[in-house]
Amino acid sequence: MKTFALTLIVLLASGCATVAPWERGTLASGRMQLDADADETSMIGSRRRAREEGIIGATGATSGSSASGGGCGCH
Amino acid sequence: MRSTSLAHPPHHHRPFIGLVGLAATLSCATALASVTHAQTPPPSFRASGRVETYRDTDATEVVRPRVSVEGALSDRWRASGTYMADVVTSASIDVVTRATQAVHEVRHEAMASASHGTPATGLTTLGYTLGREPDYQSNAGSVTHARNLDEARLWYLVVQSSVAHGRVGTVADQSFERSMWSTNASASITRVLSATSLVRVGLELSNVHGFQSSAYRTVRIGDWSAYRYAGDDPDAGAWVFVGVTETVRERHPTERLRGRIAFDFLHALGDHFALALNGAVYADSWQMRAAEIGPELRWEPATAWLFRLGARTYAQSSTWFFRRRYENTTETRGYLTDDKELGPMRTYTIHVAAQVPMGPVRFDARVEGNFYRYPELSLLHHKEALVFTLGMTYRR
Repeated sequence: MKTFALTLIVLLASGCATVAPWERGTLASGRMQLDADADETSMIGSRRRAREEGIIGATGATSGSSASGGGCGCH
Repeated sequence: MRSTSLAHPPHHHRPFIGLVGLAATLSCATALASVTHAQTPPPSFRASGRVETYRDTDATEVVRPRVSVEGALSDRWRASGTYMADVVTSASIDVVTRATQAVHEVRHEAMASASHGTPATGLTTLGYTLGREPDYQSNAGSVTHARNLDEARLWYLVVQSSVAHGRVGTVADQSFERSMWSTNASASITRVLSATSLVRVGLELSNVHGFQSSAYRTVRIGDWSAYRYAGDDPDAGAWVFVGVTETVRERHPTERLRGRIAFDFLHALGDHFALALNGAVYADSWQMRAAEIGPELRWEPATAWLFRLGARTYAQSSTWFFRRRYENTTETRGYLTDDKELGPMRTYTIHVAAQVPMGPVRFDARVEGNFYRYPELSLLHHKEALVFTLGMTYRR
């Protein structure tokens, strides 16, 4: 877990590029949304997934594609 | 209903359901945070409806309708509301080893949230979720704050905290009542790396305190074995157990501290494609360790059209007190479980999804196939599941 965290920190800290507003067109496109399912399907899928896996997911703040779970196969 | 509820252990999904609801409540804030990097204003009004169907080889079916509305009340205020239900029919091994008939149950969940601010200057969201089931009720509240930390370098921060309370009962015994509290805190930073790539890293910590074992589930003690009943006695169970020396109530520790680190990475490939990669590692005080990773290829042939193909693999270890067989009731300090999700588990998933716009309405569909493997479970080694989702969203 420490290695994983360290890798993420390095990834996050790497580079100092700034992106001018007129260069942000690609970032604004639908395919570049981090939570492609956030308001539609992923939350629903997350409920099922969280029940079936013991993993805790993040609520929206950490990842829109997961949800807090308690580990239940009672779907 | 009695046998239904007896067969359907409620507590496991109960502790999490409130927080899962929070995820929905907070989806508005999350979505806003995610669009922040693109400087795209949220719609002034959005309404959506969708239905998900789930079916697996463990004799479980779920139909899950969901409706949601969200809108701007003023330049700085927004509000949202969501209702969803789980209509569950199941004859899973969790059911048929404990009851003679399948479960049929409906769960309701309602969420509301209000947000103040803008994604660029700071957006604060308050949320509330109410969950009701025949033998369970949960109330959850949350607060989320999303802020643009550095407009030039494009750093975005989202912090969130929530508290949920669950009241567990049983249909068979009206005097039975237990409670459970969940507290959760998380933070994520989204960083735009270039004009074509971005990354998000998040940390989540939570604690669950209170009743976390099943109100219904029991654990068999001894060097037992089981085989499927092949006779014609309608009152007989689906399984026959041999060598059970004792049957006791399931008992889990009352404290569980959990932590998770996750990342999402997105990179545009040319004018119409993008590659997404997400992963996470997880650990908790019950000594469960888990990890997941999932790549996804996205194709956007035209504005608002989107097709996605993705996969995901997930693996978890068992909790320290999980055993395939318990020789006695004291070998794990009195904690015993028959919950298959607390043992080792592997999941493999593949999905395809499509979003098609038609004027102000966007239609979306998703198909997901899952393979679950339980290497330490005696009665169920694996199962397959298929999930269909159909939805539509109106925006203006």
